[in-house]
Order: sequence, then structure tokens, then C-alpha cells
Amino acid sequence: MHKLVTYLLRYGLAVVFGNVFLEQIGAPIPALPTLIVAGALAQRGRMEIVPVLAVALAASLLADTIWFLIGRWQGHRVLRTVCRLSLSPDSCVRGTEDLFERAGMPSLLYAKFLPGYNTIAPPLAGAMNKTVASFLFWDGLGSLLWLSSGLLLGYVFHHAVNEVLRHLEDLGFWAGVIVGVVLALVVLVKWWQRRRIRKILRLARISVGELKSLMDSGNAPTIVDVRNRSSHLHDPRRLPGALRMTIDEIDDRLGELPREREIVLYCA
Amino acid sequence: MDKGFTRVRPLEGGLDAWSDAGYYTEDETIVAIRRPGAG
Repeated sequence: MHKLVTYLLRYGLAVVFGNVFLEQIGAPIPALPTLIVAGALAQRGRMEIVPVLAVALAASLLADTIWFLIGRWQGHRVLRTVCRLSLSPDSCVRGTEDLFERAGMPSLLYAKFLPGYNTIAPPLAGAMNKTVASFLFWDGLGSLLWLSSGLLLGYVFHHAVNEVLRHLEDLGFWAGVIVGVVLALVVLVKWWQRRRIRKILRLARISVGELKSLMDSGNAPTIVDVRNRSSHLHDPRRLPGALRMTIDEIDDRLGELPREREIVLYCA
Repeated sequence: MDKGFTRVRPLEGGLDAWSDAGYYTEDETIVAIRRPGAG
């Protein structure tokens, strides 16, 4: 166990910084296990909790501020880029915009606990022209809450964490190989699932080319723009002849839609 | 799910994909209307 702990103690702060930064910038490398181990080591007095928390907070704020500035520079377009990583890009954009529209900047307080929203909230705040001071305040508080939770978990469950570390140390060199292979498998499975579901979703969608052909042939479907209000304010374009109604209004306004024609929706 | 409609499909790529393909989009002008006597 000593070798692994010594390694963690020697490079601990750099590992915590790198891991938190990479996760917050969007890499599929969870920082929670590192925070939990750091919390367990802190409980045994092998690591100082305050420097770990400070370094992790700096990494989180740095990555989030980069996203915030990209959001401010690129506007709502950056959301579509970030959401391309998700399983359903348009519902990802709509869902995050709706959440931000309802909760505003305080949503950054719990954004880190919501997978997906975590990476999208900072550029969204930038795209909505929020002030840097307000962003740093809410994102700082949210990051502090998230990082403290991870460290606290390790602190409370230090016996279990130490047990896992001991087993890994017993395996020596192979522990690194096993951890690497498991991490690679997790990324591979996620990538494969995403690819498969995207393929299914593509079959159920209409492509831009097919829609244009239908419109040119005189069989134009009814087009409905279901973007939310903030999207309309930032981007007033719409497809020719598109009806505008938000998702919440659809049930009340079904009568406006002809049942004999195909309906094409877009929400991003 | 389709609530009695012939067929309902989302547009792949949304408004950006349509615009990026070089097709025409309309601009929606948002006008603030003030009621007579208000504020």
C-alpha cells in the first residue's frame, strides 16, 4: 500500500488539479474517485484537506471560466457543439436552456451534480451574457459544494477506500493495468451506446435534404418551431412558414395543427 | 404518442443544419406592444 499512497502523496495535488480540470473541460474522466481517495488520505492525516480543496477549486473554476468565455464569444452555437456529445443533441440544448431559463444563475449551485448540465451550464451562462463576477460567485459556490461532497465521502468512508487501495497495492504493477483497462472499457462502452442510439434516432428523424425535397414537391409538412423564448430572443431566424409554439403550449394549441399532414418539429 | 397525427418527426440538426445547408430562413421580428394607458 505504501508505494501507491506515496505516489498519491507525492503527486497528489497535481493529480487532483489535472483530474478535476480534465473532467470539467469535458473529458470522460470522472474526478470523484480521486476526490474520494484524497478525502480518505486526509482523514488519516496523510494529506492536507485545505490545499486539496483549493487546488481542485482552482482547476474547476479555470475550466468553467474557459467554457464561460467560449460561450460569450460563440453565443448559443457553442451549446449545439457541446450537446453533439450527448445522445440527443436538440433535446439536450432545449432541456438545458429550459432549466437555465427557469432557475437562472443559482442553477450553477447544483449544476455539478447533474450529468450533462455540468459541462453545458458555464457556456450557457456566457451565451446569455451574464457578468463574470456573478458567474464566478455562483460557479465558485457550486464547485465548492461538489468538491467538498467528494472529499467528505472519502473522509467518512475511509475504511472502505483504504481497503480498495490495499488490494490495488497488492496487485502492484497490474493494478495500474487493471485501472487503465477498466477506464478504457467504460469510455468504449459509452461511445458504443452513444453511436447505437444516435443511429436509431437518425432513422426516426427527417433530414434537411428530405424536408427541402418535400417542400419543393408541394407536399410541405407543417413545420413547428418549438424552441423556448430565450432561443428566439438570441436567434430570431425560423424555417419558412414555421409555426411557433413552445413545448408547454403544444397541448393547448393542438387544434392549430392539421392532422392530415406530416408534422416536422425542431427545438434547437 | 403522435396524438392522432399522420406522422411527427424532429428535424435532424435543427435550424442550424437547415441554415448551414444554405436554405432560406425567415427573420422573426419581435415587437413590444404597449397597451394604451399602461406605464
